Amino acid sequence: MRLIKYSINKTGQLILIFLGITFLSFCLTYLAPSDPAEIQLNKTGVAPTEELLEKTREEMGLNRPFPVQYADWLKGILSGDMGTSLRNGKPVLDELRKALPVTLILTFFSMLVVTVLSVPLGIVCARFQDSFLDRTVRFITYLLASLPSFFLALLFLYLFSVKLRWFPVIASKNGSKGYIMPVLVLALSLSSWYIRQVRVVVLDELAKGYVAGERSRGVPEWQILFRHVLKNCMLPLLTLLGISFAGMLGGTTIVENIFSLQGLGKMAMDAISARDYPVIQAYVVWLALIFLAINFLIDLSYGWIDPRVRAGQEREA
Amino acid sequence: MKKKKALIMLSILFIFLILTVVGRRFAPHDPYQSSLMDANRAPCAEYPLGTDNLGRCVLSRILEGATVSVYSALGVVAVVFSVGTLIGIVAGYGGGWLDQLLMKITVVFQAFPSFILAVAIAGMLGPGLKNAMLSLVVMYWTTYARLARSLVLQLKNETYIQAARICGAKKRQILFRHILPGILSPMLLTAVLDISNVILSMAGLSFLGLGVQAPMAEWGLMISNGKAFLQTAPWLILFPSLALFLTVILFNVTGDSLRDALNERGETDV
Amino acid sequence: MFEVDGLQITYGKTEVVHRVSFGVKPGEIIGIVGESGSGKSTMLKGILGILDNPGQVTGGQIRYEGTDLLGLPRNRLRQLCGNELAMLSQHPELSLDPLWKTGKTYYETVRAHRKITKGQAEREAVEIMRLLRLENPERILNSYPFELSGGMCQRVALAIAIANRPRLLLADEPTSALDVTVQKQVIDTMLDLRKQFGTAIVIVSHNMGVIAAMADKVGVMKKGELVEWGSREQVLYHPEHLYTQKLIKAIPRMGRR
Repeated sequence: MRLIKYSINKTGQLILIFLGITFLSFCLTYLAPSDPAEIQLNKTGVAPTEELLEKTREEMGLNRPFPVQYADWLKGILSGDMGTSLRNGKPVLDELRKALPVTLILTFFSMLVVTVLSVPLGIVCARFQDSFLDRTVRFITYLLASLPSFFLALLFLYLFSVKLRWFPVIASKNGSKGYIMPVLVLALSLSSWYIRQVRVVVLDELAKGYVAGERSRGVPEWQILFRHVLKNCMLPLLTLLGISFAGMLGGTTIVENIFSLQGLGKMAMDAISARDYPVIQAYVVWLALIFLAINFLIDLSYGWIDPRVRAGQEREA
Repeated sequence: MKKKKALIMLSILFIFLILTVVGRRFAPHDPYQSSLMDANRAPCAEYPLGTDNLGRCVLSRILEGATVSVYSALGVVAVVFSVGTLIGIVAGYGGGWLDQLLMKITVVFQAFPSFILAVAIAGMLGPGLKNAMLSLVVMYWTTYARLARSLVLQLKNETYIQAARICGAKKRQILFRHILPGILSPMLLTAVLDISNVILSMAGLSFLGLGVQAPMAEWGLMISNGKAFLQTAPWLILFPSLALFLTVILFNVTGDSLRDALNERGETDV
Repeated sequence: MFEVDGLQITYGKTEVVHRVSFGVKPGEIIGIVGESGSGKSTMLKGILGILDNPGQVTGGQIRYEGTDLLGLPRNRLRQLCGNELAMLSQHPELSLDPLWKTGKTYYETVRAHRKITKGQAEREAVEIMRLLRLENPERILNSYPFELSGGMCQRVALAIAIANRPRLLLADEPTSALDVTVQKQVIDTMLDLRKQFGTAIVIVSHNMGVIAAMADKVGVMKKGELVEWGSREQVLYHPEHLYTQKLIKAIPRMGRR
């Protein structure tokens, strides 16, 4: 019962942030130097006179007061209406529906690879601190973290598409196989950061009393590392993973454009070059919402992982 | 020992910063001089790093582009540092509803995946160096505001500041004599450690075509242009990337050495 | 049965335990006193091979039934730890995994050394806890360490330590984190333990009173060296070293004003 109350409190905060996100995204339109009405008219090939512009603005609802426009737009978003694309007059939602799964798949599998790669490696590096392996991993990740992800992507393209011819240069012509390189690039560039974080967190954890306790009780070492230490590190590791999601989502924009994957990032770049403002808005809102949702889930998982947090949550509620 | 290392790294960085400004004088060719006869030539004696699709010397363009790539990032860091610190101090020292409001605003900004927000802002404003820098400022300011605020709050409760207040020191006096110097060193360290991130973000924006526009020379843009010639002229990507990579490493190593020097306990990287 | 012979331990570059030697016979209780920083806790950790990172055993032998523990392969040592040799640490609540219910930790310890079902382990646990005079053992086994008091945690840790009927128990300041009434209980429990199972105990403490109440033989450590060694009577009534005399003077006179 109390846990439900806690969830409701959390949801309240969530709604506030949601309003903030949408408001800010809505305000972005006001940054645009060109008038949407003008773009609309240009598209139809009509020479924009002052009169016509005024009329189009009226039609597009651009003359109404700011709060009304925002409320309207927000209502639209909640009911799935993201407006119409200035480029082709189709609903933005259609485009979004095509692009969103691509980005989600890309993100999901990249995250999977990051976790599978970073967590065991980070733990082993921490356990064998200053060993040859640890030093090597630290050195490589340090270099990798200084490498722009687009260079890594291009390097992969050069090696695996141009030289080895394993994959065609344009990923989207490649079905599910087309995801392999983008996923690896994203995962690798994030892992370089995450492995180091895991290592530091685990190092801290290894110094704790219960690890010595388990050892003195003769519990096998791998069991200590992967059943005790890993579970105890879960909270900070998940938090860090949540933070790193922002970088991952940013990375999708670059990677999608290099590998020509038709995800949100590619959609956004096409929209930017066509000054298709509603689509840019949809891009930023949706990625922010994904980010928000993920961090919300991570937040909720704390109580599930740690009984002390659960007790705290119940007290708080 | 650590202090010495930090000093050495700082001097190397300083020399590098001077070199990026005067480097263009040593360019073997005019970075904007195109000659289609020499398009996409591999590195050779005349063009040590080859030429691009318009026959422009890659080395000269890297030297020319260094200023933009490095100094635009430094500019962004300088702005977010000052703006963030100012906002953080106002929030932390002033307190009250203003503090609440400012912190709510940073929470909303941080709810965005930051690079996405930068792309969207740069996209809305339209491509260009100034707009890209502005979008990076929006992307990075929150860190500084929050950090400055928490440092101010910490300091406010220190005994010597409480004592100064009790002794009747004026608010402004406490602010400029005690609080500002107190938060400066950790703030500066964060800024130095952030430079390489900003350089990478800037290059990312330029790579997407949202930063400096052609025909200007800038590393991210050069790499982006080189993408079309990946199969025939990989050096168009390789050398600007290398320049970017080495620059980022230099800033990272310097930042780390500085952190180690200031904080003996901190873990050393590499 | 158990001998420590010329044990040397270094932390980084400084030696913190200098050539310490003593022996333990079956069922014997050895008390080692010394102020904090004298290297006594480090010595216990060194014996079980669980020193914190820069710490290292650099010399000497630790013989159990004639074999040198330092020469044993990791896995053999692991099989002894928690089984024939057990340890009770200074902060019991910290020596238990905070995210595991104590019953699960108990089961894990038993399971690491012998084949046993969960149900069987639980029955054993309840039995041992009764022996330690813990009320409501089922509830305790179903609790997380943070839900228990320090004294309870200590006795749970003790129950886990003796779960496999060890022949030697190494107790590191087992009472110093507890308040006086609970201290007495823990001491009594350990004495019971010896009576019931013939467990030998090495107890390390800065509190001469605790040692005087329990030990058959007493050693005094100062700055990593064993400066005094002998039977309890010898050390308590005829101390040779000035430092020992100082420690004895510091014992609060119990029952006498």
